[in-house]
Amino acid sequence: MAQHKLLGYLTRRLLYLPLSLLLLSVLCFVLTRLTPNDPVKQRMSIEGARSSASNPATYDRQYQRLAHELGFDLPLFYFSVTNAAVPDTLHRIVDSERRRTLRTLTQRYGNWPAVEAYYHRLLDAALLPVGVDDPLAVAARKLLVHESPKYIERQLSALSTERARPLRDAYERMQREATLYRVLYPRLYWHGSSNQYHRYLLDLLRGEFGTSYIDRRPVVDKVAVAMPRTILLNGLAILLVYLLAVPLGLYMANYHGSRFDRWATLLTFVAFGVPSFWVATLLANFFTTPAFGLNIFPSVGFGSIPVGADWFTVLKIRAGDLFLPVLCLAYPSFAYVSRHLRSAALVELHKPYVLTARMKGLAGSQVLWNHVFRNAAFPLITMLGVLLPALLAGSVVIEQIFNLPGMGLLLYSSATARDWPVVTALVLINGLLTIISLTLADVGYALLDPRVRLDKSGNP
Amino acid sequence: MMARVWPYYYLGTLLLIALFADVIANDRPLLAHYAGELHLPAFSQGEGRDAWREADVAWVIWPPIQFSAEAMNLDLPAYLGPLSSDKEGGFHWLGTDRLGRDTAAGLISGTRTAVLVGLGSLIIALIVGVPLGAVAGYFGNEGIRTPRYLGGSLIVGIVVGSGYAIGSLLPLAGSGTEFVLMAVLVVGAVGCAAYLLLRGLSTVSPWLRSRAAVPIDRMVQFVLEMSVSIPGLVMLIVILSFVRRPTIWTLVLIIGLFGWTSLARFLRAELIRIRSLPYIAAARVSGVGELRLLFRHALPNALGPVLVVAAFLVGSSILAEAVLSFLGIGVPAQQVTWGSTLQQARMRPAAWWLAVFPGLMLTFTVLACNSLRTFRR
Repeated sequence: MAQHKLLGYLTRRLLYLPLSLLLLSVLCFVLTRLTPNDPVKQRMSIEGARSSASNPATYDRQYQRLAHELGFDLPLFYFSVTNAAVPDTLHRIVDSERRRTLRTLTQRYGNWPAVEAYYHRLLDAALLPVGVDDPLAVAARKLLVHESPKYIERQLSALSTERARPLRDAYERMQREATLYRVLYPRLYWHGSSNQYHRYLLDLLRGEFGTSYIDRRPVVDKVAVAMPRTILLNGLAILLVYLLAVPLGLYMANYHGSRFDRWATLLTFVAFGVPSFWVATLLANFFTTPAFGLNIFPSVGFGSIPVGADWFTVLKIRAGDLFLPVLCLAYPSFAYVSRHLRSAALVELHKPYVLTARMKGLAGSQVLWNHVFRNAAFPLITMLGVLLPALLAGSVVIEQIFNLPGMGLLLYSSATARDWPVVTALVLINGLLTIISLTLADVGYALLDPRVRLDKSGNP
Repeated sequence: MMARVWPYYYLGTLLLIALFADVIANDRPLLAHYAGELHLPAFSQGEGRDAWREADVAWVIWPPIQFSAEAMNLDLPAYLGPLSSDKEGGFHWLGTDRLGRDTAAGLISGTRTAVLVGLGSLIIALIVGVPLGAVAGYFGNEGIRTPRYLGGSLIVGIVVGSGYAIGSLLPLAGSGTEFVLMAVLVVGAVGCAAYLLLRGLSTVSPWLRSRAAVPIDRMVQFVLEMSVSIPGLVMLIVILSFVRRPTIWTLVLIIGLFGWTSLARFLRAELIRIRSLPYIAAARVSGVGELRLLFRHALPNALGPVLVVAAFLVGSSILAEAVLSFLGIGVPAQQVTWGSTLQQARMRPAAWWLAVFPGLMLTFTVLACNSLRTFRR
């Protein structure tokens, strides 16, 4: 029966895994597509296309071709809910400013064919081959991205030439034949799988995270460089936490009520509350800079290793680089783990089997390590599920302060520079690690301790 | 005894500082007698510090800290130490930063930001978390049984109504309060129409008439499980760096929306425990209605422990705000907070006062919030 329940719980957890990742991917996708800058233009400037000033028509053709290649002319999602005035083909206009203008005009007049005719007139005029400084072309280029009626009328009235007549006619027709009632009908469009999110998701599933907007390097490369450093930092921190917290927690429980226990309790309480980024700032300021004459550690960042250095030199340099960051990363978790272990061990120490073990003549330390520790250690496994996400989040700030170019610093720098492909990859990796560690913690807990009952509501 | 009471005094003091920040640190006098009239310059916009200092006043009362947090003074040498006077006669209790801004005034302004973020995000977390957690925990999956036509019309109202509101009304009304009002009206109207229709149909269909359980607990559990897998601080950094011109309110909103899950989870567990207690069964037998049971009998019993979680949430929100403004994300650039002062310390390690004082304030705040938790336990 218990086995059956565990299996059910496991499958539910495993079902949540892709769902949560899907949620994170939607979140990243929304953020990516909501950014104001135009991804196609960005790509064109990277690829060195000529500016629009040289020949607007060629530029426009290039723009359309690239937009089509990159899939930006596809609808955003599997379906869209709009009103009946807005057509289901608006997404084909890739330029976000033009699309906004067209959408506003359509909402205002409700008559898409007339708006479309006006747009085509504008486009014809804007891409005229006669010359860049042609007043009609200049005005049309402005009107493509302006929707206020006053602005349109001012621009149109300034154009006195006969050549502007079709444009003016189209504008007047749009106003005359307004069908506002269509705005009030809702309409649901189904776009099928040919949409931007579908392509984005398929790319992610294939492991293609794209290239960074900033330096055009593949995202996978950037993450692959940063990840080992973060793993090193966090791995050392976890090692330190468990190596120190386990004995401390056990001895605190063993000498419960003594002066040692009271001081250690106070100390861990304070350590849990003192913000690690403040401590990191203080340590970095005092011990890595010459400001107070105490620069016993090398300055922040990974020190360079001389060519042909032996392993001892490498170890010495890396130890100097990593000592303070690992310390800052580890101490809140250390406090957390030792406090939990203390209370778990206290519960165990009051159980009859401890008395039995003592009575049959085992030494205090033997009872503590062989009997109490084994039974009190279960929470340590679950805690790993809590610790790992916290450590990953903490390493964003710690890496920034100590200038260690790991995943945290990469996340910070690419988020502030809006380098969405990198941010997406990092968020998904973070989410994946969080979910996996939580799941493993739960499963490990349930497998190791048969007393754990996982009922349907998921409460162990 | 003192060890247990100090958090209350400390947090109360913070609240007072936040409320009276303009009176404590201001570059205009509190009260001045000028040209035969009484003026309250601190409470009105107008001439700044220099003008009042040079004005020919009969008498004047200055606030304890005679600077505003944002007031720069580039004429002074940067990084004046604590307890130093500048050449213009201003006294800086805790020194100045690179731009000549007074650190003590910055701490006062940072207190206001911290209190705002802590309480604001708590309120948002309470608004979202308490109803969801309470209903899920108290009613469970079987607690609410409703005829299918009622539940069906509710679902139709919400899905169709909000779809229509988003598709057709959002572009017309914009995303302001009008839209929210209109959307609520539309959802209500569609729901009522569906109710009339389904109610009519239920006279011929016994299936529509029969009662079905609303799996409210499963739904809330689903949201909670999903939210566990979202890396909180990482998403905060990503979302807030996306916002182009962040105000303090966006920060409050987003931190609050990330914080409600811990409250809801705790309240749910607490109400699962409470709902099986004998006194609830006794009240139910004596004819108390379910909603009254929840709000008058079950929920007040859970509030004590929830307040402890809430205090913890306040501490972690303030910490999150400090980390974010330390990273320069999410808080307007010119606003002085504890985190941004700490950031200044990184530019000039020798200016220890920029690192020590805001960090101490932050530490004591977090410790105070955490120890409310242990006190109650």
